[in-house]
Amino acid sequence: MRIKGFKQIIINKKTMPYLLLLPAFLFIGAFMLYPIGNTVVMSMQHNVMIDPGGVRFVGVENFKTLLLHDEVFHLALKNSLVWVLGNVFFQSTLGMALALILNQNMKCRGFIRAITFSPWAVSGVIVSLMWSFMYSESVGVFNDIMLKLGIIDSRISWFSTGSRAMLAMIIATTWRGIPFFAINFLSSLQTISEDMYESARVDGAGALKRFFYITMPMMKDTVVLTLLLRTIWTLNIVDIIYSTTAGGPANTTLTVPVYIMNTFMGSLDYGYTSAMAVIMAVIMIVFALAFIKITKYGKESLY
Amino acid sequence: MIKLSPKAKRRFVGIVFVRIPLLVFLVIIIFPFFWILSTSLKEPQEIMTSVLTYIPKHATFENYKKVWNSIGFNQYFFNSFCASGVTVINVTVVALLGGYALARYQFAGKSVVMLLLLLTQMIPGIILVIPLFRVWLQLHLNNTLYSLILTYSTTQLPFCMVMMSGFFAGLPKELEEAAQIDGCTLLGALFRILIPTIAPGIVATGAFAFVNSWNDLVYALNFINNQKLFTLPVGLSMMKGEFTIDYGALCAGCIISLIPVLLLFAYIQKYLVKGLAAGAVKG
Repeated sequence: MRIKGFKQIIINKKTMPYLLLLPAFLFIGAFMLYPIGNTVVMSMQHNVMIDPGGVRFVGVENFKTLLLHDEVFHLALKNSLVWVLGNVFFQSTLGMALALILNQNMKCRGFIRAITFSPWAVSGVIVSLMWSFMYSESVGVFNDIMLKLGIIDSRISWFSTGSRAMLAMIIATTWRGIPFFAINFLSSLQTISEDMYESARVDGAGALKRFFYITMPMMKDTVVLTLLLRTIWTLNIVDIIYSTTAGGPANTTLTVPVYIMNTFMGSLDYGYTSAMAVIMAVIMIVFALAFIKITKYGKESLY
Repeated sequence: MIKLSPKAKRRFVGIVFVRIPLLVFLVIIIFPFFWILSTSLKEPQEIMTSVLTYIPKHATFENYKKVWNSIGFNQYFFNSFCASGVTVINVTVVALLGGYALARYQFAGKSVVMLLLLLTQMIPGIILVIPLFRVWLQLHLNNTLYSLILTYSTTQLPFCMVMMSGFFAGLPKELEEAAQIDGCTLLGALFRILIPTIAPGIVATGAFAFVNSWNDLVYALNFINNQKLFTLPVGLSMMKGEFTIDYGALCAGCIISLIPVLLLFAYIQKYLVKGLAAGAVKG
């Protein structure tokens, strides 16, 4: 009897949701929130794993070095901006185009959709390997195609200059990223009822007018959220850049996360790399909040 | 200018704005897959000639045999499969319970939980690498597949939980109430009635976690330095690190790693369209 009473104190209608969520939050707490807290603490320490001198508190020293003196970090910030803007621009416009096409009636729609979404399943390493192979100077297929089409006279080296290497990687990443936008835009397009287009057509609105006055306003929240998530995820990409150029030549394709990865694997400097991670997180949070505010996400925008 | 009948005009517009662009998209999307498949079936001398061939002259499986047996992809495949497989079990069970709570209960702090789950989607993997590396050292789990399993389970959990709650929210509440009146406990109703109903969605969620774990490079590269424990992405990236690149074997390795995820993805993509809409956007 007493045991049953005890059980009822622990398990009842009020505590049930918390009990159900408990396993999830054990994982998230132990391996996500605690480590993040740890990062913030370490960012204010001199903390190098292989340094016998040990750990000491240095306040904002790491941040000061990074923001004022580390020129590679400044270059990485600039490169990150180019990387994110280039990728998100191409992926979102092409993703929108693909979604609009896939929303039309056609034969084998499911099959075509499965094929057009497939690059999203490809890992960053494989994207990097397959595209570097195609870009290769001596045996690459792109040089071959462009020579045959007469676009270039002699084989070009894609990874000898920073801007060309950056462009090459943005093209490869765009190939992988288009489906993410297409999936989201398509699912949102499918919620817009055909009646709205029909009545607009009766009123004499052309295709462009229908797109800007019906489709875009109806999809606004999806577009905003997809752009936000993708911007952040693109900034976070390590694998493609790391295994294609590792930031080279001469750091011209080094983005902040790749710089963190290179520094961490090279020096095992917890303190300095944590400080970089904190700066990156702050930039992202500020960006996300500003973006949500400016775009008025979630506010009814139809009428 | 030729006057077209409305029907012909419609057809013309359809070809110019739908058919042709779709064809261009399909060619661009398929070509890289085709190219590595074609290369993986070529003999080494055919790959390195200056005149490229698009279809292999003598198709051979030598590259596959080499990469599977001599380079060690049989071991990498097994490691990847273990790490991703156990992750899927963890994530599915935990996300089912949590997703049910999010879909069915109103409780204090729910909006905070939802916000937290959304924020975890924005945490860069690289930020977690540094402190987690230390955690694994302290727990003596560094250089084991457990470190990867725990990492993947945690990072995949939030999204999968939101996805699951979307599936539960689509079910009528009367379903488990009726079961409970008939004498089922809550967990009984959950496992006997609800889960079978949304089984396809659960499989899709699990497959999603599988694909993401299978594809990870950053954690595996940092946490594992014993070649016997390499996963496929690490194995692939190490092949490129060598002085000369054996493109045939590399492409064969890519195809081997791609087959499971492409098959799973073909299955989950239609749930992804629903799941993202239900979870991420409305969440």
